[in-house]
Amino acid sequence: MPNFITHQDWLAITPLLIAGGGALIVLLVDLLWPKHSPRAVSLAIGIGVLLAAGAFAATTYGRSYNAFNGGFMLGGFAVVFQEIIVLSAILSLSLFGTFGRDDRMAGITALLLWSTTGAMLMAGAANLMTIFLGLELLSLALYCLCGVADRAASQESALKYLILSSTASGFLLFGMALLFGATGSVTLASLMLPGLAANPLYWMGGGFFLVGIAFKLSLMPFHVWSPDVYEGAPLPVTAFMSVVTKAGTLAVFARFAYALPAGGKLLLPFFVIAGVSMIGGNLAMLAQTDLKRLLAYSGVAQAGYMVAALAGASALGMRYAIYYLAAYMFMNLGAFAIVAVLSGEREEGAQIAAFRGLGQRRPWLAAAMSFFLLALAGFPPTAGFLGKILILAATVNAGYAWLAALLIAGTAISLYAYFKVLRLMYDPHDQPAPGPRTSAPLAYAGAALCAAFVIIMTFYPLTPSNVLPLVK
Amino acid sequence: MGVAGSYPLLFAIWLVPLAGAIVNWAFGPQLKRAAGIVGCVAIGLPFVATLAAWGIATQSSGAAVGANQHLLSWMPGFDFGLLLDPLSLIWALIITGVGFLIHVYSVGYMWPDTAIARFFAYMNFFVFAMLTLVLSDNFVGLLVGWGLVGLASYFLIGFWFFKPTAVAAARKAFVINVVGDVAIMFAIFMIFAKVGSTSFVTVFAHVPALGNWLFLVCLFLFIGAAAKSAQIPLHTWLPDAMEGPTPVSALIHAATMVTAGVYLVARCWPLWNASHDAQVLVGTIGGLTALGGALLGVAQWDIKRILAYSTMSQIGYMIMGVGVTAYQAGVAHFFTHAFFKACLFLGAGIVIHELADEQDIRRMGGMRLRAPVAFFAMFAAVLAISGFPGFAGFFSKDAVVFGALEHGFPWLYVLGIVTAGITAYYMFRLFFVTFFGTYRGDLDPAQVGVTNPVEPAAHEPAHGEAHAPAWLMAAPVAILGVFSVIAGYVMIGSNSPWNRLFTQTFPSQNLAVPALSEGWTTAILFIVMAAGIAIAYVRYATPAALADAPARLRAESQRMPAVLVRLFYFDDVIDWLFVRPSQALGRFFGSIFDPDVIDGAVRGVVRVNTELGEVVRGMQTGLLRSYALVIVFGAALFAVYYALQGVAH
Amino acid sequence: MHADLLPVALANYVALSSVIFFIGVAGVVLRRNPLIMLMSIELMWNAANLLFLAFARAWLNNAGHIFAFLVITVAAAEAAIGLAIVVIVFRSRANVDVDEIALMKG
Repeated sequence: MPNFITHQDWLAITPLLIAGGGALIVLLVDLLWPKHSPRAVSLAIGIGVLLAAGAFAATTYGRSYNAFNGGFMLGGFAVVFQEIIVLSAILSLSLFGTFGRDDRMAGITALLLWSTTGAMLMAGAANLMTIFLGLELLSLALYCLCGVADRAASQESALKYLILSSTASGFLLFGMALLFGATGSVTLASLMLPGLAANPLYWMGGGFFLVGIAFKLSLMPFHVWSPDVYEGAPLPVTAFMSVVTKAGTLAVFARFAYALPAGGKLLLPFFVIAGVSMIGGNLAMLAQTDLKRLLAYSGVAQAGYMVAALAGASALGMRYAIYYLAAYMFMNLGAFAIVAVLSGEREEGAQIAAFRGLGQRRPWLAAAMSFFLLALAGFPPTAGFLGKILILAATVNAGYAWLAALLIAGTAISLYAYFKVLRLMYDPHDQPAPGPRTSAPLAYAGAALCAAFVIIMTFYPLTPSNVLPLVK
Repeated sequence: MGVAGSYPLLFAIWLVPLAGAIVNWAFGPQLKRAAGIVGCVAIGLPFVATLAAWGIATQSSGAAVGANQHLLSWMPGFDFGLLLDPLSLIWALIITGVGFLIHVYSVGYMWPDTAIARFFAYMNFFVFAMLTLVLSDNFVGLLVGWGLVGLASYFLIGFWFFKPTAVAAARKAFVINVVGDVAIMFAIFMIFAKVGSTSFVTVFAHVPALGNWLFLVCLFLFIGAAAKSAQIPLHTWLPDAMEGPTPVSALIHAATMVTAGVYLVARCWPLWNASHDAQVLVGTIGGLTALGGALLGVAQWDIKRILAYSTMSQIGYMIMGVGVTAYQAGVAHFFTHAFFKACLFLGAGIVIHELADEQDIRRMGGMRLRAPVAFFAMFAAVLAISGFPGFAGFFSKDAVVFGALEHGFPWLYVLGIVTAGITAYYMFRLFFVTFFGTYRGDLDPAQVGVTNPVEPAAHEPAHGEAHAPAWLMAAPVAILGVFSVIAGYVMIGSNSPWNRLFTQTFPSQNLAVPALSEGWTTAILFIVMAAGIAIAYVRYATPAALADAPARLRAESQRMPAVLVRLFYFDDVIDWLFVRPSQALGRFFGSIFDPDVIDGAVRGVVRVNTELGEVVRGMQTGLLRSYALVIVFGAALFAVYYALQGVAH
Repeated sequence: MHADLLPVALANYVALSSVIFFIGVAGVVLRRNPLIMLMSIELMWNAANLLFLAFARAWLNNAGHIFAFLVITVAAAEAAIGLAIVVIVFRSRANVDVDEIALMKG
């Protein structure tokens, strides 16, 4: 067992070092600037750092290497998730054009970069230690980010997120300790040892581990935090967390699921709650008046879809889950970008009522929003539709027809919720609600980019064809 | 399916209407009336190209009928392309051909309207969407077209958006159509899950792979078809859709869009061939719709609503035909119906135009003198729809009705014959009341039984200040009238162009010899139809009846059976089944949400779902400790499961 | 596994840490002061730490020791951030009863 850390290992985590070190640069510039560095400077450095990290990560694509004695696995799988994470971070940063206080922007940017670093670590994490480290790095920065706005709701969301997430981390950690006890190793690969099924520690450990994962993916009933935290957190932070947390955790879950012997009963409850999330999340959407809450519940259901794709641990399922995650990133962040365009400092655009008569007032924005909502609902011709079709095929082929049935039922329910917003935008009887006219060129650009990618993804799958050999 | 070769003009057929829509949309204010020319050219060119394809196809011998154009490839199982085979060729021909005539007519009809460019942009967009639907070589493209025609229909029904009734009708149509879209979406989900592809060729080659999901797939596909084609019980939007301009009714709600359901079933014939249950379901629904539509047509006074119910009834025939796997007959009826129904609508449009928007036939009368072109053309069309021998409808209706018997559905045979009689009656009723006798519009409305007269509304800009050349409206009607006579002749003989196209498309089936021969069927149908015409003649067109017309019409209005006036209580049943219980439930839960979400049944479903949403929402108390409790509770459930698993091993 | 190296049977460590863990869980659910809740969470984490150490010894695998140090480090960061958040909440409300903090719900 090679115990030395070589330059290859450092090369493997260079994208993380760029992102994490970039945060220090942002803070340093802020310190050296006469008063505070202007918003644009912090954002520009942040986006530049992320672009560099993403570009560097891309160069390592396809090079399989187990860095740090199997703690961090380089390869196609990690890179795909890292690119998704970096891209969502860039899009979320672009929404900061109008939100938050100028003097805090450097801190916000730095925290967001660190959070991104944590998620990128999770994307490659292949032992329990790095999983935990990545998860906590992601979460600790997010607690702070939730509370950066000077609103009581924002502070409340930070407190709720902190307590609940730390509790869930407690379960995760306890589960990890039990798994360590069962296998005598912290690597995920050791879960493939024969004879583990006879060990109760393995079962309990796996169960508690999955509780922690389910919390981060906000699967029902571990989703309770997400609506409140999504609503209270500043809009760009909500956008960031809705995709990045899911992406990082999905990577961990995928590695875990694919490390297990196929057809393990260990994951069954997880798929059950994925099914519950598809129905429950979509039902809860119907009664919402706040768009961020609505998207939180939508995220609950969407996470259910993504997990369902992994049922049966097939090669196809992995590919489809990644496709859907990428599609979800674009359609979800696109919707958030539209909300950002319609919002002033007090986030008026987050109220569903703000969309009343938008079709007459700002037809282009309304059209883009309709497009994103239809994609989330899974209507053709959007990437959301094809993603759902693929997931269905994967679940049926893997023998989880009941998940497919729940997915169809959930989709049917969700249509009403999304159509509620659509109707509000286009009903000729509705008088347009007066809204602030903000100028947020970055948010416009973000929305346009997302729309373009949702369309492109409909016709060309941007995600790689097969990353399974690179998971294990 | 005998598809070979490529036909590059397919792109032109498909995209030129879209270009027309874009030009009209973008340059509407500059174009003014020239928008009409743009609109007509944008559909005329594809028509010529389609006609050329028809010529090539019918002249060719051997297997090569049709063409395939590949557009783009996606993941395995997703290849998008255009397909021009006999089936889509027939539809494309009607869409562009009849569509072109209706576009020309529209130039005259919409002459005084200030929003003419917007109108033609929508119309061209509709044609593009409809062509997407029929030319697509896979289910996804079909569904895209399916959704887009619904959208175009929504825009066009609500074209006069200052009429509240038009807006309501548009919304109702849209909602019911979305129900259909979703059903088809689910069917595609299932197909892809089982077969792993969405292209027609692959799916139809692997029908057994659907296993016991086959009927479910057929069911969902048919829900979509029924919503689009106004089949019972999803028909209630079609009569309301007559709020749109008359050319729209002719193009979308008679000739093309509403027949998409027929196209879908005919396109998916391998599925229907494999599932007898689906045949029974679709055939029966089609037969019932044919009869129901005809019965409701008897009770209507609004000329466009009569035609709307007759459309519903005739589509019922087509659905019955394709449902019982007499695909060729069903498609043939679509072909002939497009001509005579478009002719009827456009003729009615001339009459309505002449009378400054009066639509109640009781206030018409004697129109044969004021609108002679409409009179002759509609006479041909009425004979055609009644199935008078030698006219277009005769050939196809005979084939459908006999097909039902031939494929072992005697009860549908009887339904078809009965409906034929009723059809002849109410169509001649319309014809006699409108065109014979003397003009009754200057009488007191109450005298002819009109209880709530609709004064010629201000919804259309006043006519007369600028009239279009009369031929713009007369010529299309006359041409369609001619085709109502001759369209059926393409089907005569085993070597006719029609048969050369279709014998290769649909498989020949081994059928038992039915109890009654085709000759007998023709004879029975003729007798029933003659009886229907005779009754209409006695009631409305004898010299005595004409002299006494106002009193007779008044008496009929008063004595009309309530069950027909209330449209078989369909809207009431929907109200009782869905709207009221859910309203009670809503009151019970003390939270009424969005009282005017959408119409009817859909509103009920939303209510029920919303209540369930409230339950989930109720769990969300906002209290940190309750959240922690939920999480711990969930973890406990997990722990129980895993403890049991741990012990079990 | 080398359970014989442990001074007391391995099962006792598992039992003890389970008890500590559930005391922590109960604290989170039952207490209303966020500071106490944070302490209860620390209890949960430390229960896991105890397990890591016991198993590290049983398996003769240092990874458990390293993991425990890692957890302690992260817990310290967590506590720092947690206290800061409690302080800003306290500043705006002068009250930190979590049952009074429910602006957002539904």
